[in-house]
Amino acid sequence: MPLFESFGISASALTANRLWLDLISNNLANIHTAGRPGDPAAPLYRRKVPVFAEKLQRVLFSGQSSGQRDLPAQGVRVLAVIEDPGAPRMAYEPDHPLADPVTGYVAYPNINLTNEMINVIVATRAYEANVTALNAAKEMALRALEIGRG
Amino acid sequence: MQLLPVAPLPLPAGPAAGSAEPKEAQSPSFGEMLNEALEEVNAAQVKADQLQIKFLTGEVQDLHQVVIAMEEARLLTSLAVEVRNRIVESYQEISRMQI
Amino acid sequence: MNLLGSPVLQVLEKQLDAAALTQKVVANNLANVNTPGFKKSSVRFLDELKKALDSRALPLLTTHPRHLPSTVPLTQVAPIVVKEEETTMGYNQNNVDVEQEMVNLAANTLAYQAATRAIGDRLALLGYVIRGR
Repeated sequence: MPLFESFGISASALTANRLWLDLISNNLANIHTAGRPGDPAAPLYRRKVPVFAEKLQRVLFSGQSSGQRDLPAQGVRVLAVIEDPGAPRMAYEPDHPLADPVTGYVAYPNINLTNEMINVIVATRAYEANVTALNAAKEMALRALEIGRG
Repeated sequence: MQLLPVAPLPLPAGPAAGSAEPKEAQSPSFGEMLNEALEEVNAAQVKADQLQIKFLTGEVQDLHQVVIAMEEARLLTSLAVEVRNRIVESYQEISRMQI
Repeated sequence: MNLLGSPVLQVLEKQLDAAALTQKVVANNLANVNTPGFKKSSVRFLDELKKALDSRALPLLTTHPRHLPSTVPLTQVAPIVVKEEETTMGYNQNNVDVEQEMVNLAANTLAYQAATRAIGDRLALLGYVIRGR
């Protein structure tokens, strides 16, 4: 339970971006994981991508203003982790155990190293920006506590 | 009772200053004034307590509101205590006077 | 005895409220910097405050309780969250400008700290006057 809404907002962003970074790491780790499409014993690894969405919190009100409404500005959440449906990268390796017996091509995941590295930078930048926001909120709260002390 | 000048900002005449005048026009007794002042002190403390509880339950998210209310309650209480001390002092001084 | 009803104190407290709200809005913008379709929001407060403090505006005659006054009294000035729908920054309809938001964050933090310092000093001064030392 976040003590302040602002901490919760920044925390949600840290979680989401950390998850994205984990997915990218997973993609990079499996960049050479060959598979045979349609074969359950050797499933083809597919690039995993998170879907970000704004987090809205449905709040029930009672008392003077009864009813419910969506509170805005609650941060970000990962709606789902979807798999890239693109076609796999085919490489001609007739000696590979998972090669297609007819064509000699092996199916590799469609993961582009450059794209994933760019995403690493984007995710890290977003993570750092939200850490700064969190620190700013904490600093403000600490200053507020000092109001009577000066 | 505006203690400090507010020169840099162009401020409106101030509803706060206006509300004090009707009271003085009727010139209530000292006892009534004291009672009103103590009610204010009590109200400030109650407000501070309520804000603290609301903060703990998460209803109020802004820390500065709680801190400012606590500080206001502290100031008003401090003022009331000082006034009491002065009254007691002056009473003792008067009772010490040789007739 | 309206010790703490000074208009400046009210203005400072409203400034604090607006700064806290701005912090949340900016944090939300930063959190959703990669969310497709997200439109950033900002807080409008200074204009409202200036209008309320502008004593040069001609007051309208209000003879009925339901007449709307032309000037907003200070107690009713409130910050407004405005959503910016028209612009686009990235390929996925997201319009958050990270650099701008970081600058807003820094400026807002300073404004908050300045206001707390101002309130703290005023209250400390009152305390000094009350105690006589």
